[in-house]
Amino acid sequence: MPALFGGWFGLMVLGMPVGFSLIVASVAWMLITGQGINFAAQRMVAGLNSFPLLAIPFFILTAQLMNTSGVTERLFAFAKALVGHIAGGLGHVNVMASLLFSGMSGSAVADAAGLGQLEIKAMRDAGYDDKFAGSVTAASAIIGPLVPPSIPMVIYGVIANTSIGALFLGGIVPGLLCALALMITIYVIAIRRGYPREDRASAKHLWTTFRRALVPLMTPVIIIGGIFSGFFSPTEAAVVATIYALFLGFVVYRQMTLTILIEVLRETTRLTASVGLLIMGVSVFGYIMAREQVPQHAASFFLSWADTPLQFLIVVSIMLLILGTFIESLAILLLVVPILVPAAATFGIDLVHFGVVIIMNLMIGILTPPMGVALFVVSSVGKIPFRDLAIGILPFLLPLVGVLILSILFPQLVTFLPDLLMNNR
Amino acid sequence: MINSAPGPAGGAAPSEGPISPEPPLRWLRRAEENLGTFLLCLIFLSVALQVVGRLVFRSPPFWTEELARYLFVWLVCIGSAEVVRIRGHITMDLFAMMLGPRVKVLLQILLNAAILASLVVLVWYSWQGAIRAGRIDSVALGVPESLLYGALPVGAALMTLRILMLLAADISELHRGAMGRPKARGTK
Repeated sequence: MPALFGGWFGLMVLGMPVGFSLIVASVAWMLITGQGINFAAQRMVAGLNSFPLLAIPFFILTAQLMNTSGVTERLFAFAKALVGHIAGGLGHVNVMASLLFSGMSGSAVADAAGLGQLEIKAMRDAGYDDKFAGSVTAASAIIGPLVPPSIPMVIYGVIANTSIGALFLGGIVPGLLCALALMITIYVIAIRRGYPREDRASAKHLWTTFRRALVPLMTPVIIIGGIFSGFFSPTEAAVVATIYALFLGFVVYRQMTLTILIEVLRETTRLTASVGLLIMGVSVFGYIMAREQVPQHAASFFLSWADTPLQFLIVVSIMLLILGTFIESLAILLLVVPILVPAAATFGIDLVHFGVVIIMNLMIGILTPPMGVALFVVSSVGKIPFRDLAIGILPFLLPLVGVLILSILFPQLVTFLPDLLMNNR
Repeated sequence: MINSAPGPAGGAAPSEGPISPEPPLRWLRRAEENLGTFLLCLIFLSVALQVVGRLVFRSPPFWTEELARYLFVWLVCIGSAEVVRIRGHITMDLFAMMLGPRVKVLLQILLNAAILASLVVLVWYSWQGAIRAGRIDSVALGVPESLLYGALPVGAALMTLRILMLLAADISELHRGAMGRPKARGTK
C-alpha cells in the first residue's frame, strides 16, 4: 500500500499528468499483486457513467459563452458603478465583479482567466501596481466555486452522495463572507497605501449599468430557482443555463459568431476531457483504496487524533491546507473525499457542511504557492511575475482563512440556507 | 481549481494551443477534435430534449439520460487523446521547471514510456471487458453494453498513439540536441 501511494506521488511530482500517474500506479499495483486488473476498465468507465457529472461540461460552457459574449464587461461596469467610490475603488470592483460572475461560473480558473484579463487591465490603467491588481484578481476568483453553480460541489456531491442542490445553497453565505472579508482587507490596504477611489456614480448611471447587466444577472436565478422549484436537476439546470447563454450571445448581444462558438466548444471539450481523465484515474485508484480499506484506516486514524467534530474539522483543514500548497486541488478533492466522508459521518458532521469546508480549504490551496493554480493563471493572463503574486497574495489569505474558521465554528453559516429552503433535508 | 487545465479559457481569439510537432495524421487530429465537439453537442441536445419533454410534453423520453451518460464517457475517452496531443492534461510541473531543458526532455520520455506501458495493458484488458459487457443489454436504450465499455479501449488506443507520437517528437528533439531553444509546450 505505501508503495502504491509512493509510486503515484513520485510520478506526479516528477511531472506525469495527475490522471495518468493514478492510472500507471494502479495498473502497476494490479499487475504486481495479480488482483483486480479485470476490474480496472470497468471501474474507470463506471466512474464517469454518472448523470450528475454531466453538469460539469455545461457549467464550463456557460461561463465560457458568457466570457465571449460581452457579459463580463457589463458586469464589470455595473460593479464599478456600485462600489467604485470606496477607497481602493477598483479593488472592490474586482471583488464585486467576481461575485456577480460567480453566479454563472463554477470554476475559479474560468473567473481568473476570463474576467481576470479585464480586471487587471482596468486596475493597471488606473495606476494600481501589478502585484496588488493580480493578487486581488486571484483572491476574488475563488468566490466562483463557492457561490453556485460550482464544479467542485458537483464532484463532491457525486462522490459523497450528497445533494448538489443543498451544497449549492450552503456555499452562498461563505461565498458572500469571502467577498466581504476581501473588501475589508482591500479597504485597509487602500487607506494605508493611499490608493485612489473612483468618482461616485450618479443614480442614473448606476441604474443604466444595472439594466445593461440585468439579463446576464438572471442566470443564477434560473439555475438556483430552477433547481429549488423542482423544475430541473443540477445537470438540466446547467444545460438550461447554456441555452440562456447562447440566447444572450446570439440574439440579445449578437457578439457570438459560429467561429467563436466552435472554438468555445472545443475548449470546453478539452477541459471536460482533462477533468474526466482525472476522474477515471481516481476511480481505478479508489478501487484499490477501498480494497485495502484505506477509508476505514483513515477513520480510525482520525478517531485517535480527534475527539470532537470540531477537532476533526480542524485536523482535516490543516491537512488540506498543507496538501493544497503543493498538490492540484481537483486531485485532492477526488482522492480525499471518499477517504474522509466515512470519518466525517462517524463524527456526526453534516455532509453539506463538510463539503463546503473542504472546498473552501481547497480554494485557499489554489492561492498558495508553490502549487497555486489561480496564481499561475493570473500570472499568465496578466503577464505578472509569479513571484510577485506569491508575495502579494499573502495579505488576502488571512481574511479567507478567517472566513474558513468562522464556517468551521458555526456550521449554521453553511447549513442555514439549505435547512430553510429544503424541508426534507 | 477545476478545469485547471491550462489554456486561455474564454479568450475570443482562437487559441490553437501549442502546435504539435508532427504534421502527419492531420485527419485523425481533425476527427478527434470534431468528434469530441460533436459528442458535446449531442449530449446537450439529449439533455435539452429531456427538459423540454418533461416541462412541455409532460413525458420525457426515457432514453435521454442513459444516452447522455454513454456519450459523456465517449467524449472523455476521445477528448483525452486530443488533450494528450496538446500536452494539456493537468500536470504538476514544479519539479520539472527546475531542470535543464535536456534533462526535462529525458524525464518526459521516461514518464511517457511508463504511461505507454500502462495504456497498452489497459487497451488489452478493457477490450476483454468490452467483449464481456456485450452479453448484456443496457436498461433504457437496449443496446449491448459493449457500446458503453468500448469507449475505453478505443480511447486508450488513441491515447497510446498520441503518446507514441509525443515520444517520437521528444526523442528526435533529444537527438538533435537542440538546447537553449525554447520550445512551445502545453504544460503549465
